[in-house]
Amino acid sequence: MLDSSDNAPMPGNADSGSSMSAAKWLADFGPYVFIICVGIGLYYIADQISYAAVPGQMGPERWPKIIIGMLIAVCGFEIVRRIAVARRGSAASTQADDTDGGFSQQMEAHPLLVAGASAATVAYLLLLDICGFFVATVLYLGCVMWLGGIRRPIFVSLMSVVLSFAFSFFFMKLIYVALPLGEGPFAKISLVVMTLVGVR
Amino acid sequence: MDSFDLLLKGFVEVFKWQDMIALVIGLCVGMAVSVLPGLGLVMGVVLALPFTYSMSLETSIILLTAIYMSGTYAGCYTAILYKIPGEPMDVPLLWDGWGMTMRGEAAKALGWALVAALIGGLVSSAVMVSLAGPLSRLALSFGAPEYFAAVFFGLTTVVALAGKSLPNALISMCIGLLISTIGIDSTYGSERFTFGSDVLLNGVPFVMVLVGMYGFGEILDKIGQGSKSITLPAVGSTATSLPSWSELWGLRATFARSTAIGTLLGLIPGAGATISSFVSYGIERQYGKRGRQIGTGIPEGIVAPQIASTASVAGHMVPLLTLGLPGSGATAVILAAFLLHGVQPGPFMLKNPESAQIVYTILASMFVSVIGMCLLGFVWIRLVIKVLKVPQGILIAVIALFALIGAFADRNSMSDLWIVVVFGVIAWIMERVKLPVAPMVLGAILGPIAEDSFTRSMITFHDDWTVFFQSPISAVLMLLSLVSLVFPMIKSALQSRRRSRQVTLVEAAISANSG
Repeated sequence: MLDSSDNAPMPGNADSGSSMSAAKWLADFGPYVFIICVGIGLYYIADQISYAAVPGQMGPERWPKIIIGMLIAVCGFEIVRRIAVARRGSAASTQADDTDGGFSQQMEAHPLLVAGASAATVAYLLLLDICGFFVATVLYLGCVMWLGGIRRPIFVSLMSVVLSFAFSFFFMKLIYVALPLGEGPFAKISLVVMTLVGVR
Repeated sequence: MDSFDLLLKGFVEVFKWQDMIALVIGLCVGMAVSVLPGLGLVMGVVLALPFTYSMSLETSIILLTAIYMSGTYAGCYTAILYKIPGEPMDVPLLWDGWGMTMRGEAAKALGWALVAALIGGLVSSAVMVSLAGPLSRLALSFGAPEYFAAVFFGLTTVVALAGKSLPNALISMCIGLLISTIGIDSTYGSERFTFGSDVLLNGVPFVMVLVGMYGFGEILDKIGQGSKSITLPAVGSTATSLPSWSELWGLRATFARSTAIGTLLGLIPGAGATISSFVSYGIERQYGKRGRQIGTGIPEGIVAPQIASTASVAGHMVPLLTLGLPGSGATAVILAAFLLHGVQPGPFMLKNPESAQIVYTILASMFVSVIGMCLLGFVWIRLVIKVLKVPQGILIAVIALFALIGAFADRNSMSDLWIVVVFGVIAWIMERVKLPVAPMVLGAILGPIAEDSFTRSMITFHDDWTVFFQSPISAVLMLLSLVSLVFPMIKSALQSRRRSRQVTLVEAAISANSG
């Protein structure tokens, strides 16, 4: 669902009912159709759950099947309702449709920053075992601070190192978490850091 | 031992050093997260959760409850002094609080908020403590059908109150319930939706779902909003000036009304502090003696929302402790802490003297938390507000690491971290496409309880679906659940029809004029 100020034809608009673009249709109905398809797939998988059946007793597939059935029913209901609203075609129904949300997309001011932060986190998880907690955390903190709007390289570098030391102390020394040490030379760095924060 | 004795003993326990330190830390953390716009109190509770693994059950719940309690209060400082609502529940406070600040009455406004939080918190805690015994006795009479009906009621009210679109909230809840079915089924031991992955055999740990959706998802949300530096307007003083007895007596009706609203709404699953705050403000505006002046900067506009949001905490905690049902995001995390310690909260806790003492110690800690947060707010708030000056990039980085390594600390498992990241991204996408997060989280947590009670009912009563409508308690709960689902649909349809009629009238008027 688009913003009410958008000039694109709305599903509830009588003039636009037939001229609804494919993109608009996809945005309005696509997610519900997608969920129905996934639901059908999951229902099939639930049907294949193997167990030793006890006569007269419900099996482990019943509960997930009920939920999947409800999920499909809700999506089906919503698709039918949306089609009915579009067919009714009054401006009022368009407004009503606007207010109920649907799968309207509300984009961030900076979606690339979110993608960057997600990528940085994935990289951090991949690096943890190789570089160890300290080195990986220095890199990750620097990256997140940069994405968070601090654009002073020296300050970011210093803060990353200081915070990584603080976190190493907190997690290793105070709450005894066995954090990854890393491999090869990184393991040596981790051991030095552990000595510095007082972990033997 | 009766409830009063247990409560007195509970107070003694709270003042033991471990519990007291946890309580003070909890109050400070709750205050810090609630003054920061965009970081909710639920996130504060979630971030603290992994650090409770090594604590005793009592100490960990006291810590989390203290965060929850003070999280409903400290946001009033930034709302009143700087027009910055730390939490959505602080928005109504801002309308009158900022008005008083502009007139140079900031200290007085803070004083009203403090007294409101104090009275709301203490009175609702007292009411709820007195209800704990009867509620748990009632819950003891619950069989599997009644328990399923209670869980179903909890889920449907959360769905009904979760967002603008009821179908989207239902979809979110179903996804949460489905997530809870992943892994080995407890009755038959068969694999469900594991897709051959060993990691999924034990199911998706709900703690990681919580940390991902409320912790990491929030971090992505903050990053997506871009860096916004907060410039604090110059305010003469952050001192608090308490109202006089006569001023308090003048607002007795507001105090009584708002405390009742907050406590009662707290009992309804899904109606958290934010809804309580807005409803109480609205009712004060409609029925208050000076209702028409609300919004211009009068104490009633501060007292009503503050009192209701703080009162809702006790309202949510007691159903959790006595029935084992969480009604909000924060209580869902507290339930998770119970389960992590191998304890299922519920009526049986009050039957066993040892666990009953734990329940009453937690209840006693609510009283101490209310008094403690007001004292801290009175003397320490200047330091708390300084958190706003920390650059956002540093805050985000620190919180992200707490969320990730906190989750890792549970089982030293990298797969848990991947789950956190996946659910964080899912939460961010859900927010974008207007799928409410709360029903999914509660679905994931309440799913096993719902499935267990449903399965037991079906097995015991030979697949008889009418069993949920046979006993008076379950019938009433099921009917209430259906009403909570149907009512928003009817309301929406009526609003739509009314709007349609208005548009037709306007169009008729325009065509008449042009004609």
